[in-house]
Amino acid sequence: MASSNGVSPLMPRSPSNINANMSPSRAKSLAMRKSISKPQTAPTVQPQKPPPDFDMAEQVNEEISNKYVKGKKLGEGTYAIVYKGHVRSDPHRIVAIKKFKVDPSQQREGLNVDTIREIKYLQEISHPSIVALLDVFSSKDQNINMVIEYFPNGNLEELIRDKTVSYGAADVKAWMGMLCRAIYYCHSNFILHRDIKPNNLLIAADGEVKLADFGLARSFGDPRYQMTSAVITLWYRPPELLFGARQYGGAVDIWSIGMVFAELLIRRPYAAADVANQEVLATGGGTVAQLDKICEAVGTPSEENWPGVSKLRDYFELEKKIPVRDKPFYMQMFPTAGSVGVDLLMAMLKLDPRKRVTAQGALEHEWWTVDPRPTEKEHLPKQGGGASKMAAAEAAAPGAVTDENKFKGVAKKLDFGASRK
Amino acid sequence: MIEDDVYRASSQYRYWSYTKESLARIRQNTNDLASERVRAAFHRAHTAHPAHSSNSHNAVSAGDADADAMEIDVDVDVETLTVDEELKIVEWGCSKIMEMGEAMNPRIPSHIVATAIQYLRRFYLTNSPMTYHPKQIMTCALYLATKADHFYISLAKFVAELANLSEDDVKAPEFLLLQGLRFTLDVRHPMKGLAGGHIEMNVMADEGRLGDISKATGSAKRIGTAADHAKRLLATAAQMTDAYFLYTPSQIWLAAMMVADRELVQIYLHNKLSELSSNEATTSLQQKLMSTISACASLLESYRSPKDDASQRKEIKRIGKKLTVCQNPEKMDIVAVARAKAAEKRGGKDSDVGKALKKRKLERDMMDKDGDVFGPDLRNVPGSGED
Repeated sequence: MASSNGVSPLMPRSPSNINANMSPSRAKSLAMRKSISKPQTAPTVQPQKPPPDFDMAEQVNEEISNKYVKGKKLGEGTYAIVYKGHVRSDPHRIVAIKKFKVDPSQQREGLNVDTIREIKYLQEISHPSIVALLDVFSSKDQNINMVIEYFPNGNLEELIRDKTVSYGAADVKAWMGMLCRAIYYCHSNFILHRDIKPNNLLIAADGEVKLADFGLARSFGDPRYQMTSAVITLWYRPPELLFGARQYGGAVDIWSIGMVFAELLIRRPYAAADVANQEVLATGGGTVAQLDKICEAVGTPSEENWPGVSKLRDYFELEKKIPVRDKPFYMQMFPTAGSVGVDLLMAMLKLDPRKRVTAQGALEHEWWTVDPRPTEKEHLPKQGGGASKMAAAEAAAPGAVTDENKFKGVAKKLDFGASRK
Repeated sequence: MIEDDVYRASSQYRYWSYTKESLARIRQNTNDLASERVRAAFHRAHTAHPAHSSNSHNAVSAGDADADAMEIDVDVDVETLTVDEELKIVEWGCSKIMEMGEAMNPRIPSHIVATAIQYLRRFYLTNSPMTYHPKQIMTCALYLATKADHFYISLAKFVAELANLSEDDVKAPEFLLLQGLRFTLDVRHPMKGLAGGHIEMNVMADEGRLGDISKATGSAKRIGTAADHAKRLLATAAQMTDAYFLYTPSQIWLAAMMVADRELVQIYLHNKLSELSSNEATTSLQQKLMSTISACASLLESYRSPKDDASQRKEIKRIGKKLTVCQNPEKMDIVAVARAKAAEKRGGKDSDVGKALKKRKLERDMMDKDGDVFGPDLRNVPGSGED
């Protein structure tokens, strides 16, 4: 554990750090924040006003539902509609309410598994750099509503693309610190995120960047069970998954973080297959093209740099033979990262997942101790897409490759035309 | 060290941990509320269809078959289940989940079966079997556990493995179940801890840190036998009792080991604790730990499977019969209940008409804001009259 005077990079500097050393009182306030008080006190039967046909569970649900006022719609996606809302007793406390769509065509097997898992994992997670789930309730029409923090400042993808916003190495370090702490927390709780990308990194009102969208998350650590390799948005997907690995660990998230790091530095995706090209998508959903990009950006995976790679289920001999990129290559590519920053980036982008740095290793890296110091979060640039972009990220299908929201406005107008008939 | 912060942040600790007293209280509340509603439902049924009421009436007052079926006080006297009887029926549902998991092809892993069982137990803290019979909920609990714990099996295949059940029967109560679970789906099991403890005990024995239990005295065999016994207890007694509500996963696996080999656990804990700096706090901690684990061990030991106990089987049969009489008649058809709940919104303030009006206004507002990309209104376009 960290000594009391040294600042460990393992610990968020924020006083609201609750995962590191939670005192009983903090644990209590955490439970309070989750608002549904312990069952022995909450569902007290109130015989004087019995709702006509309410079970105790329904009464509890009603109480939670009544705590919030739903406001205007912020956005809509494949899976959900996101509304702005506020706490009834305190209109200044703004929240976002994510209402999962009930689509009968997608309900053949009951409730969507992504929804189930997002709720499952967010209920267990509480960290300053991870989107906070405040409550879950059901509305009368049997829709599930998740009450989450409100993010007025959009997401990192918007910020990276917005050329009117300038940011520097100290800002990148601050964001990377938040992301690394978030994923360290997840991994030490045996949860893999499996969809880390700038689009899922939301910017809070206070500048904190928070990891969102746990629809593809799962627990890990049991080697008896196989996992799917069809996770993580293509550009951020590590080579082992592109080769069809069914057993993996935290290293998959670390690769994604490395790609986010690189993208923050050069303000465009570092290794990005052309997903708009139908021919590219036709070959294994773009995996071939993505591996090709990885060869160029990082180097060609081979038995020399990655013993055992040829044993992976979907391995194939790659056409491009590019030796693993060396430090001078990275220094030229990412001059703003500095020498130590490049070391960390290279450690995150190791082809062999066993050699890739772990979340803890990343937090213990020398980069955090060299200049520049990370920007205080109050001073981080915040202009992003704004609340509607938050909604777009929250409402989109997990793992979606293309930006479906690009054409949303058009679709809406077409809808209006149709509905007038 | 004393407090496991990670566990305290879990939903299992925050929402599903109780003292014996609070657990009894919440069950009594649920029972009271359900009993009241069962009586009210029978009353409604009698007043609405007096002619059809004689069946339930006869069943209730079997000795007095000639009594007037219209008499209201008879309805009110429906004999409802007690808390203990409800619990027995829920435990019956748990054992059925276990059987289903074993019979399924592919066999559902035991930790997922255990998750489903805990879902059922949690659901029935705030719901009564008189309202929803466990047989209506248990298949859904098992299917939901496979989804939440990443064991993919298609609903069609799942249903094909079960007799006389439709896909709707399985998924209809899903929402109800989720609500009863307060939308928390993670269950922390003691099995992983047992596996880790088993390894650690072996290592300690090999290193001579378990006193007389050492390689020379056949420690691996002794520890292995105890762990096997404990594993069976975790799959049965730990699931069929209130262990998860009352104790933490580590307390439960240590208790299961204690049932199997008390001395082993005593030596293990003694040596683990002696590695800490000894002071008053650790002494009192050790006492507290031993008494908690012992209490949990007694709970696990007290469990008797109905399979080996004829009187229990007879008792469950009796309660089952009683339940057929006092089951809430309005909740028998779970598919219909789910449909009705989904349709509930159409009543009240958000009526269809109101919604349509609201939608139209919204569209108008949007059009004003966005500008009209399709030109003027259709009626001004020549030839649009045919639409």
